[in-house]
Amino acid sequence: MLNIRIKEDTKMSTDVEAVFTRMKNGIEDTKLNRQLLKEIEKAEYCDSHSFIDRFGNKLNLMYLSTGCKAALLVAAFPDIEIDIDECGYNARDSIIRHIKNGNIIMSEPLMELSFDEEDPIDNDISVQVDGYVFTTMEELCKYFQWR
Amino acid sequence: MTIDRVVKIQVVENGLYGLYNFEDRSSTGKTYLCNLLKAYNRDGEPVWGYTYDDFRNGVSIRKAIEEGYKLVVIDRYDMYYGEMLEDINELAKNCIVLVACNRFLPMKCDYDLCFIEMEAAGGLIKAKCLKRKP
Repeated sequence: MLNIRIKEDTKMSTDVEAVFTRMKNGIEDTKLNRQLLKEIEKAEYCDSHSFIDRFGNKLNLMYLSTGCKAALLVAAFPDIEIDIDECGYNARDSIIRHIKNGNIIMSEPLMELSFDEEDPIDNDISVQVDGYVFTTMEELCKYFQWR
Repeated sequence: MTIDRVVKIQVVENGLYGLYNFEDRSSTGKTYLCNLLKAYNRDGEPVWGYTYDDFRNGVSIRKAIEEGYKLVVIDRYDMYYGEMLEDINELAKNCIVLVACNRFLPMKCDYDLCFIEMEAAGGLIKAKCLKRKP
């Protein structure tokens, strides 16, 4: 389950860039990590310390966007609560759509979640907010609108 | 404003000083632009990039006012949200200030919107600044 905690204030609890720098072993070659790289960064996994960017350049992982780093951290450390307020809406939505085991904290969304009701991924999420469990992006989106 | 160096930077809507918030989207090239402006600043261009590391190291945004910079990117503002408001507002009177923040800016004055586009393998960055119609 991906647990989402909604913030009460504007303080950031994670410096994503600093935490990511401490990931000495880089990232694992998993289907999930590849999906996150593809969807957020339009990039391909290369090896544990590098990726191929949208222009075909091989770059060190440190050149990933902060949003993509946050997503990879949530996937890599499911027991640690990661603050995703630095993520753009595209990275936020990718985290919610794809990660089924983790902990995030975020502000009340300013921009609505995006979803496609025909997309099987959007109908197979596993998210808990305020003690409620959601299995589709549409339900979660409506809950945030109502909350 | 165009800065024609190794990576060309083009700010569309020339001459419109003010405060602009980047669109709320990851992986558009905001940090890349910020780092480029830092590098170009070292080469003497009237541009600058400011980020969370500068904030933590006690660097003041007033430097940009005193030096008369014309284009400044303030990156990762979520991490020091609400800080240096007066200085940022003052800077924006004579400078194009582009802020990377995923929330509404806590500014007293109006701010506008900026989209960023990277083209040609990162060889050209366009920042399209949109002023709200009066």
